[in-house]
Amino acid sequence: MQTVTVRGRVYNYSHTIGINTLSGRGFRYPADLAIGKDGVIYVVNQTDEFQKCQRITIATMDEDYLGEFGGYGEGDGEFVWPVAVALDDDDRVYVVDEWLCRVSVFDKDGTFITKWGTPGKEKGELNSPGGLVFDRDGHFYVTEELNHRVQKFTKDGDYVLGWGSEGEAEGEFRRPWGISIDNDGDVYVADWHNDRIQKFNPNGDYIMSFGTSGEGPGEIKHPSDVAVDSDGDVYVTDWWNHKLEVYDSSGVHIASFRGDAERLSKWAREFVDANPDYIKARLRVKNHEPEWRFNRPCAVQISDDGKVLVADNQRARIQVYQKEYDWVDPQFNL
Amino acid sequence: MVDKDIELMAHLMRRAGFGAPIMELEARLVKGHEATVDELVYPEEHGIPPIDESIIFRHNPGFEIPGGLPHNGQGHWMYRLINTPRPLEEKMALFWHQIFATGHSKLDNCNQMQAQISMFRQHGMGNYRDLLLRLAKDPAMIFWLDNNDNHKDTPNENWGRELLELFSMGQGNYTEQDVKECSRAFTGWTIAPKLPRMPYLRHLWEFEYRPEDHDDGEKQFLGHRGRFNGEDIIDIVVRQPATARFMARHLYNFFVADEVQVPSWLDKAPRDPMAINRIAATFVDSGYDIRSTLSMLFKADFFKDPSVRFAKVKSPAEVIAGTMRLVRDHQSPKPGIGLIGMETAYQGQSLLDPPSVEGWHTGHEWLDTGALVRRINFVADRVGDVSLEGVNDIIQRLSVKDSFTAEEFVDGCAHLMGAVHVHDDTRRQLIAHTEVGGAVKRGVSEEERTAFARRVGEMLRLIASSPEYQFG
Repeated sequence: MQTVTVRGRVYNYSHTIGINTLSGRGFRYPADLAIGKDGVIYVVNQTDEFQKCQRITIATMDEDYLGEFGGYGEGDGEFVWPVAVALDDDDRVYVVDEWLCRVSVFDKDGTFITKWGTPGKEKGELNSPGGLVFDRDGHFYVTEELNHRVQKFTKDGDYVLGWGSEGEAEGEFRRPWGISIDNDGDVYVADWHNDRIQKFNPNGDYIMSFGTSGEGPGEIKHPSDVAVDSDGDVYVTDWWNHKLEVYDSSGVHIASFRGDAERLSKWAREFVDANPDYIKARLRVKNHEPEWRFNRPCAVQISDDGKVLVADNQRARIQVYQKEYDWVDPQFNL
Repeated sequence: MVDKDIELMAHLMRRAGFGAPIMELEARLVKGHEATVDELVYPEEHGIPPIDESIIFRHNPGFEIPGGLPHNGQGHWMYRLINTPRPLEEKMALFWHQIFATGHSKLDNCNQMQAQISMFRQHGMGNYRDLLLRLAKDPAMIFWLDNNDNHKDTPNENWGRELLELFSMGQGNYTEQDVKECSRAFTGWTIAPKLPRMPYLRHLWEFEYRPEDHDDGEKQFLGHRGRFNGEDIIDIVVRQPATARFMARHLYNFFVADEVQVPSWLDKAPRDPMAINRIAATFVDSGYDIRSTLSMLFKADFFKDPSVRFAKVKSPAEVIAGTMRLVRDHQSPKPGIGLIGMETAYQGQSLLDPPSVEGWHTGHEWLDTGALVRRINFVADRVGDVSLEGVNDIIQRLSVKDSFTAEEFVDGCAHLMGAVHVHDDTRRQLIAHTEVGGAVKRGVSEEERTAFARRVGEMLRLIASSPEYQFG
């Protein structure tokens, strides 16, 4: 990928994490990720109803595999449709299950601690929860696909407040999915079937929305997640159009990324190098570009040092971009 | 008269779709037969949107790139069959899947099969010539019938032969020399190598024309002479009267009434030669336009004739999708849809994976002993489940009356299952069974209403278990 310099920002492609696997190192339909201390990441693997390898993979951003936990089922610590993950200040891992309508809590090594969540439509109940984010006070917000709303809870699952209903007006949602919080505590919601991002203050008062429905630069269709970096720039996974869109804090479009995984991940490289037929099969292909591109980018998270991690759902990997903070352009006629 | 009309509407919806619950039939009846046909054949023009696939992909990511797992592809297609607002579009995808049968067993890449079915869905009601050309360039078909091994110096006749025998004219209308010349014309029509399945899941093949591998020499084909390429061959094939007759018989067999198996068509006359002539004539006169042909077919007297109602054994896909539509299960994503898709295989029709290029044997051959028991059990389990929305609707509709004679109860249940017709013998047995259970009353108390619901569920199971229910 060429360095992207746009409106005072500079982006480079950093690297790729992952390989398609049903267990162990690698991912299967990664739907969300959370960044912990020391570059540890927790990745939700959706998988499917036949392979039943729903799990959370623990790895580092440098692609060291640390372990996994979960498994298919309805018991404690198991998942049916795991979809979102977030960490609290104590590094406890919260995993949302859309089908079971519950949040399961684990310690940082994946030992089950507790779970909560009651299916339903009333306050405090959940109906297909899809996104989860903590605020600085240790409360968290959950989006609900089928209740078309956002609810705020204490970390023990006690209801604090909520807003939203089905519709297209300001503050209404259609099947909301990902959610994020900026440095001011404002809340951003990927309003999935309304093709927009909505921004609210911490009490749920509407502030603004951005992103229009479409396929072109700055346009989005079925955005699945949103993240805000320390500069206030907003990153949106344009799930249906297979791209990542970046906007400034006022909603002005900055850049579009379509995936740049030209170099294989470490795990993928090791796999290919160990399989001569795969080396040959790759050599007979003229155009490798389809491999670089996103296929259902599903979630985005930003690390403290400006890494933009995108869960590339149908390609079983994380694509990592770097927002450069001390970039100096080399002499042009070098 | 109304009952007769609703029976005709039920017949139309079983053939052009997957059956419909009574409320949908009543709503369609208000529009009328002709308008309903127009809506089914031209859904875009009537503002009927395609199914929103994003919802199923959000929750079942395995349905997008099933790769080596056809069950995920089957689950995906079944979700569409159950939920599409454009049932004829899916029915035509099934129709072409049966005729242009291509299978996962050889491809080992279910996404490629899905891409082919998607092509059938998009173009299956368009122009037949255009469809054949797309088929000739379809990577799944190219690999399935070895056209990637059909080279200028070493021709492979697999695709060329099936194009003539199974996909257009049928046996007896061409010579071995035509097969050879046809195959030569398709040399160089191949697929580009694709990225391998690991490390990042599957990719799709793309069609590639290699002029250096194409035999550009003169060919003599079906009485025509020239330096034909594949497209020229398709133009010649489409214009053959045998092609129109062959496709007409396929359409009749699929949408009107069961014919003998395809290999017997050479020496067994059609069930209704006049209908075949009329379908073939419309096909030709419309410039091989499938929509026009279907529109004529569904409005024709031979289609409306009571003698062809329940004259087809339902395919497993029709049984399963129709039942799920009736009971209104899996109307939105939930675990288990993959298993419902797999059920087609258990009943003898493994979607996306037909047994050979000849597709499935249809009609009574769907009903071997094991498959029959399986389909009866499948349907009976669902229609007897009073917790399902569609079953509950039937109970509520019946509940407007306080009490029923045994005859009223049986007829009411059969009617609410989608104007199902049972023979007199079967009806007598169902009535006798009802009488054994005592008077049928809706009741007032919760206990009485639960008992009533249980009896409705039981009757629905019995009707679903009847031989007649296997026919559409």
